[in-house]
Parts: sequence; structure tokens; C-alpha cells
Amino acid sequence: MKVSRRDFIKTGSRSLLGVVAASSLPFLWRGSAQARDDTGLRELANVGQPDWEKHYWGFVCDNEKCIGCGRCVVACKLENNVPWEPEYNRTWVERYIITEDGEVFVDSPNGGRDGFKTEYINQKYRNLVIRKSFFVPKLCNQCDDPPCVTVCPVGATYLTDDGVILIDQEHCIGCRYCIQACPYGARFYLPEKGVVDKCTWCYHRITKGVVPACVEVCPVGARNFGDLRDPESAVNRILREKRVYVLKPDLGTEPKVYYVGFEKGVL
Amino acid sequence: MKHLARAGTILFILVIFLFIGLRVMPIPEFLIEYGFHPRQTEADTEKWASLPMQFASSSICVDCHQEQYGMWGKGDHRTVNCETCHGPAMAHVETGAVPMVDTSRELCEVCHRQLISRPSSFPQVDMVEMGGDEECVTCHDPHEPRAGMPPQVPHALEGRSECQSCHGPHEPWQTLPPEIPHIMEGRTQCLSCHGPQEIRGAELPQIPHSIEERTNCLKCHNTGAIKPFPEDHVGRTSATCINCHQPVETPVPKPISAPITSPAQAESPATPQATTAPPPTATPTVIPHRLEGRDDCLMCHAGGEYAVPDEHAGRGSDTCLSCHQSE
Repeated sequence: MKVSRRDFIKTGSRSLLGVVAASSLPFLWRGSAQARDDTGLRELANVGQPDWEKHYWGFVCDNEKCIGCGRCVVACKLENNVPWEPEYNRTWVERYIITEDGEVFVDSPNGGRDGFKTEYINQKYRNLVIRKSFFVPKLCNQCDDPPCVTVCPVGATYLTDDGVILIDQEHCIGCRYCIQACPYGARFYLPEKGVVDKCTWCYHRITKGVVPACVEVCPVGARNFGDLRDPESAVNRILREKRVYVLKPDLGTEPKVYYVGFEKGVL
Repeated sequence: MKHLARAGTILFILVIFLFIGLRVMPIPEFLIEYGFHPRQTEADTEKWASLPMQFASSSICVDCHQEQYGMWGKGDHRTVNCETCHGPAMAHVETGAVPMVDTSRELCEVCHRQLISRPSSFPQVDMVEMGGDEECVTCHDPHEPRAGMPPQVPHALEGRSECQSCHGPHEPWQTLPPEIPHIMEGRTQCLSCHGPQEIRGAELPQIPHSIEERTNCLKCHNTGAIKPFPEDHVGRTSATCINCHQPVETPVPKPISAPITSPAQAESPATPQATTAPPPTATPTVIPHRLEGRDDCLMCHAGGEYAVPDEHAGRGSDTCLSCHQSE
């Protein structure tokens, strides 16, 4: 059979357009059906849901109170079976040193696990004229618009209904894309398990009504945890009374870890 | 050329429909929610929620350790929870395993070693000067670190006037007589701290106000501040004040003075008592309004109806909140 060029292009383009248009129809139909199902499910679910869906957690770090003792780092490792080696930290404490020239130096020897020693400043920053220095506790910011969740190629990490980002370590393939995506450096790779790990705000504790381990052991109240939906929670009291900021707000990640005591250069 | 124009129009409309029309239609939620792999996450959430706890909390410890809890509750370490020093206690609660009791200098050091990065109001000590190599808990009860501090002279004082002729600052520790474990600058009267209780009480002025919530004495009592310390106290820090100066036991409640009352009370003529200076032992008035957005107290309270009392002259807005708390 002989087909002219004109006929070939005509029939070809028609069928191509038809296939494209037709293939989109089932998606549209399924989408609207799913949307209907979801609303029905959610209404049903509101009746007998567990407590943790009624909360929305938040965290406040007070840089003006932190003394850099590193008890939080130790407690986190013990509570969550994080390897003791200093490379693996769900939370850590950074020391900021700002010189008279306005230069900013940051260090965190062993993640702050063993506390900070005066000599360390002297060795590393021997000739600095220090204008001021302070500690900043760091942990996963549990962003409301999390880049780590967006980039995960297998959907192993997700945001729970009470505002915590968790990793399904059975689905995680250990590609470490999320480690690259996190602007706060909160994720790390566990070689022996072959998966990524991160702070969960001690999810097993907060769902039982206890504060995370780092908040429990902080001797000066530099770490505060509470329910953002409860106007009388520890976190909401601070958010009302103090000027707070979040890390890297320009990235639009909407972190839920707030900081008291802003200083230019703290990232 | 007519058929070309027609074909072009049809093509144009198709393109509009395919690439814009379809895009404008609402994209189904399941396609974009959390990336391309929507999954059921409830099982994993519950797995995380069911992990075992290692740290209990101080409220559990108090069930058995009433005595330590009582001491801890009135000491300076009352903001430090049990497990901060003792370590995770869940195993102790569940199985009776003994939790860590670390009495080493290194543990105290992680908080109290002098560091330029620490808040200046936080008590820090020179770990070389203070106590030599002895464990801190030899002198300080960790539950109530200032209890019994400074230690009293354990021997009679007759005929011994020069403490330092025996207790030199350079004697090796743990030989008798013990060396002085702190710096000597500005401290010449050993007995005003280490003497028997009756000497201390008689000689030293008491703090005429409550020290609740006031940890930084130098905020008000530094050189050039409202009530400066005596000149021979140079070199002492907030951490040492209450070693010698204790707050009075029962502060006299302050009569509510005219400046900070409700409008109804303010309209009535001020009683003579309200204009006289209230005794310095008074409890500070509570701020009857919220503080959001109000940084400069004196913007409103410098004069007029809600002026600060006369004896507050010279105090800046930065000092108000050291005494007056918001409701």
C-alpha cells in the first residue's frame, strides 16, 4: 500500500493529538473522584482520630540562654540510638564568634557532644579580637514547605499531620538527595542501615505527651517545645512575648524552629 | 491560501486547548501531593511513635525521691532536670537499674567552665583556680549548690587573726591547713564570709528585696548603675553576691502606689501614703498591661498620670523589667 506524504502527516498528527487528548481523560476523572473520596474520608476520620492529629508542634531555641553544655546532643544520641561518633548528629550546638572586623567564625567540635573548651578557640582562632560570641542550638527545622520531601525520588520522607517530617526507613533507598536538598544540614546518612536519618522531635515522646529529650535535659531553658495550636503552650507564650526569627527565611521553607536572639551572620 | 489559513487557525486553537486549557484545569491533588509517590504513611508514623523512651522526666523522679526533689526545688539547680546530670532514667524506672551518677569535675565543667561565649549572667568559674583537682561535689551539694557555701571556719578563732598565715593560697590541696580555693582580689576580711553565722549576720547588709527572677545583680548594682556596690567589691561577680548577702526572709508587701493603678482608683485623690517613698523591701508592682511593641517604658511613664515614683529617678527603661513583671 502506497501512502502519500500528505496523507501520512495528516493521519499521523490526527492520531497523535487524539491519543494525547484521550490519555489525559482518565487522569482528570480519577483526580476528581479521588478528591471526592478524600473529603469523605477526612470527615469520617475526624471522629475517632488519635490525639497526635490534633496538635501542630513547634520549637523555640533561645540563643541568649544557651550555654553550650552539649547535654542536648548527648541526650539525643542516647534517646534515639544515634551513633556516638561525632559525624552523626540529629541535633548539635554551634559556637559563633564575631570579630571586631565583623568576620563570623563558626565551630562545633564533635557537634558540641563533649561541651566546648576554651583552648579550642585559642588554637583555631588564636589572633582574633572577639567582639562577641554565643551558642546556637541546631536541629531539623521541620519545615512546612520541605525541600527534602519534594526531592525524595521514592516518597520515603513525608510531613505528618502534626507537623513533623519523618523518614520511612524501609522505603528509603539511601540516595542522599535529601541531604543535599536540606538547607539546614539536618540530615545524615547511616552507613550501617544504608538509610538517611534525622531529628524527629522525639516523635515517640511527643505523641505520649512528653517533651523531646533535648528539651528535657536543657539546664537553662534554651530549648522549648510545645503545641502551636494551644495558645497557652510554652512555645506560644514565647512567640507572643519575644522577637523571634527563623533560619534562612528567604528560602521559603517555612521552618517551625524559631530562634530568640537574632544576630547577623547566623545561618 | 485559504485552506492554509484554516489549517493554521485549527492548529492554533488546538495548541491553546492542549497546552493552556488543560493546564488551567485543576490539577488533581494526588498528582502533586508530596511528589510523585503518594503513599499510605500511617503505618510508618505509628512505628516512629511506638519507639521506646530512654529519658523519663523529673515529674516521675519525684514519686520516690522526695528528699532530693525538695532540696533541688529551692536550689539554684532547680532549672536543671534530674536526667541532665543523672542520665536517662527510664531503665531505672522500669527495671530498677541504677542510673549514672557522675561526680567528676568534667561533668560540672561542661556548664560552669569559663567561656567567652556563655551569657555573662550564667555562673562560671575558673576551673584551675576553683578547688584544685578536687571533685566539685566535695564542697557543693549538686542538688543545692549554694547550700553551706561558703564553708564556715571549723575551728576556734581565739588568738588567730591572720587567716592567711596558715591558709596560704599556694599550699597543696588536701594538706592541712587547706589552701584557699579562690582568688583573693578585693577579699581581705575572710571572716565576713567564713566566720560563724552570728558574725556574718551582724556585719553584712541583707538584700532588701526578693531575688526571685533576678540573677544578674550587676545589672542594678554595677559601677554607674542605680545602686553601685562598694568600691572594695571590685572584681566580684553576680555569682558571689549571695554568698554573703542574703535576701530578707519575708519581704513587706508594697502598698499599691498611684502611678500604676486602675483608672477608677487613679481618679480618687491620692492618699499621702501613696506619695511617700515605699519601703525598699516592697514587692514590685505588676505591670497591668501587655508588653508587645512597648520597648521604651519611659515613653509613657516619664511623667504625667502614670509617672514612675520619685525614688526611681535615674533608672532607664532597660531596668524596669528586672523588677516589674507583666501579668
